[in-house]
Amino acid sequence: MILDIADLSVKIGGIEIVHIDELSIGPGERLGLVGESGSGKTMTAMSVIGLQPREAVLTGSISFGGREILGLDDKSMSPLRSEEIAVIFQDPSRALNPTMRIGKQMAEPFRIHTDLSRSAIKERVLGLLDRVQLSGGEDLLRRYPHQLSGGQQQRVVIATSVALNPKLLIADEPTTALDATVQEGILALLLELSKERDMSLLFVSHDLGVIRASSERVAVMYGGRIVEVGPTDDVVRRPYHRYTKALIAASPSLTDSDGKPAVRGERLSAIPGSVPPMGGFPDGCPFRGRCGYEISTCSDDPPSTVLGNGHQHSCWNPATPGELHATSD
Amino acid sequence: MSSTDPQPPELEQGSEVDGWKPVEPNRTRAPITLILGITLVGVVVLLALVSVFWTPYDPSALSIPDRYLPVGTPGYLLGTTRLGRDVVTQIMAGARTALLVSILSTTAAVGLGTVWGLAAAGARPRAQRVLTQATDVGVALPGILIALVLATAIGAGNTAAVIAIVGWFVPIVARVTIGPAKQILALDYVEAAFAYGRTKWYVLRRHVLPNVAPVLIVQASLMFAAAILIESTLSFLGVGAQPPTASWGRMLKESQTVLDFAPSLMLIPGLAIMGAVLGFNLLGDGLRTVLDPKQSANRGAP
Repeated sequence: MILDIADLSVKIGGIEIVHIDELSIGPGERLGLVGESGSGKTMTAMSVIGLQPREAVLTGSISFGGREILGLDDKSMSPLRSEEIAVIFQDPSRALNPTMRIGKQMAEPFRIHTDLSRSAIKERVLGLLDRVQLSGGEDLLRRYPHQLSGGQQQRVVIATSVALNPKLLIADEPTTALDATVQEGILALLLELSKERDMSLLFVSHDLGVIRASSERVAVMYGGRIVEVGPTDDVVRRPYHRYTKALIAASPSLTDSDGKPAVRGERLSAIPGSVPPMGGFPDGCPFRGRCGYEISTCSDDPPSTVLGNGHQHSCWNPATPGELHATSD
Repeated sequence: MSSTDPQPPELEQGSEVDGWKPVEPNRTRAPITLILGITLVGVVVLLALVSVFWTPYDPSALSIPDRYLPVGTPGYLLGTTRLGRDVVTQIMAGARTALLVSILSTTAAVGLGTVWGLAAAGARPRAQRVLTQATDVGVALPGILIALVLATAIGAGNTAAVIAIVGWFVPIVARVTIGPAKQILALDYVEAAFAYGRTKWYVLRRHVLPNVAPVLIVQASLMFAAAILIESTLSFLGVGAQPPTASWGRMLKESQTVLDFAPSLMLIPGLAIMGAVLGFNLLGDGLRTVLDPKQSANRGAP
C-alpha cells in the first residue's frame, strides 16, 4: 500500500469533522472519494498532504510508503509534496498566477526540487506539454494563463503536478469547473498518466459518474465517515448503504458498465433534507434523519460489514441487491 | 496593462489536441475623462519641467515698482504679485514645487505602505491583527493637524510637507493592500508555492505583489492628486514651502488681503491647483477603469 490512513480524526474547534477508521490506496490504484458537499471528502484529501486548515487538529495515522506523515511540519513535508504527492485543485484559474508566464510556472517544480540546468528544464517542460496534448510549444510557454481556456489551463496544472513523477496524485474535483465537453478529455488524461506512470490517484468528486469513469475503487463519504467502500462497479451496481443507494438514485449521468443509465425509467430522486452543518450530524449513523429506512439500532454506531471482494459498508439496515431501484420516500 | 480585452480562446473539443491560437485584441477606446486627465497632467508636468531650465523671470527676484500689474500687461502676461514677481513664473515654479513634493511623498508612501500591507497580510494571525489595527489607527489620525505639529517641530518647509504627507498616506496604502493581498494569499497557486517550499518573502514578492499592483497604481495616482492639494493646503497654512520657494498655496494665501482689487492673484493659482488635482483624479479614475481587476480577472476565462 502506498497510502494507509488509520483511525484518522480531524477536529476543528473540538468538533470531529472527519473520522476514518481505515482507508488505503495501493500503488497505481485509483481510488474515488465521493460524497456531497460537507461530507468531509476534501478535508480528508487535504489532510493527507498536510494542507488542512490551520485550526484543524489531526490525530491517528497517515502513512505514506510506510512512513508516518501525519504531524510533519511544513519543512519536512516540503520534499514530500510534489516529489511524492501532488495535488490538483478544482479551479485551474486559481492554481495559476495570472501575472506569471506559463513556462516559468511550469518550471517551478524543477527549479526547486532538481539541479537541472535551464535548458534541461525547458526541455522537460516542453516534453510535459507534449504529454498533456497541448500544442504550441515554446510559444505557449510565453503566454499568460488568461490567454488559455479553462481546459488548457487544467492541462498545464496537471502537467506541472506530475512533473516530478509523484507516486500519488490527489485530484480534488479536477473537472468540476470545466465544460462538460472538456471534462472527458481531462479525465482520460488523468487516467492515462496514472496508468503509464504507475501513479496512484486519489480522486475527490461529488459526481459518481466521474468517479465511475476514473476510479477502480470508490469510498462513499457522508458526515465525515466512510459509509461504503469497494470496487466501483460493485458499489454502483449493488449498493448496500442507504446513502450510497440514494446517491446513485440521484445521479443522472451515471451509466452501467454497458453504457446504459444505471437509473432507468424512473424519476431521479433527490435525497431529502440537506447535509447538516459542521457538528450537526446525529449520533450513531450520520445519515439517520435523512434516511427513509431508519430502525431503532441506527442511533448506535453502525458496525462495518465486510462483504468480500473488498466491499464493505456500515449500515444497520442495508439495501439488498433486489430492491436496488426502489425509491426511498 | 493595456486596454485590450482578448477574446476567449477557442473551446477545445473532447480530448482533441488543444491548439493555441493567437487572440485578436479587441481595443476599447480610452474613456474621454482619461484623455482629459492625461492632457491636464501633461500641461502641469510640462510647466514644471520647463521651469527647471527656463522661466520668464527669476522666480525669487523681487521688483517692487512693478507690483500689482494687471493681467495682460506686456511682459507680464498674467500680471505681477504684491512683491512684483511675475505670476507666470510663479505658477511654473509652483508647479515644480507641487510635483516635487507630490512625487516624493507619494512614492515613499506607496513603497512603505505596500511593504506594511504585504507584511500584515502575510503575518501570523496575531501579528496580522496588530498590524491591521495599526493601519486603522493610522487612517483615523487627523493628517493636517499632525502636519502642523510636525512643521512646528522640525521647521516649516517642503521637507516637513513631504514627511507629513508620507505619514498620512502610508496607513492608507497599507490598508488598501491588505485586503487584496489576503485574497491572493488564499489562492491555490500561493498555497502550492508554500507547499513546495517557497519562502513567505518570495511568495509575497513574486506572487502577491504583481497581482495587487493594479490596485496600487490606481491608489498612487489618486494619492498624487491628494498630495498636490495637501501641499497647497500646508503652504496656505504657512507650514509648507517657505519664501522664496514658489508655491500655489502660498500665492493663494498672499492674495487674500488684496482680493478686492487683484482677484486674478487668487483665481490664477486657484485654477492651477484645481486643474492639477482634477487632472490627476481623472487620470486615476481612467486608470481604474482600464485596470479594473474584474475586467482583467474575466479575461479569456471561458
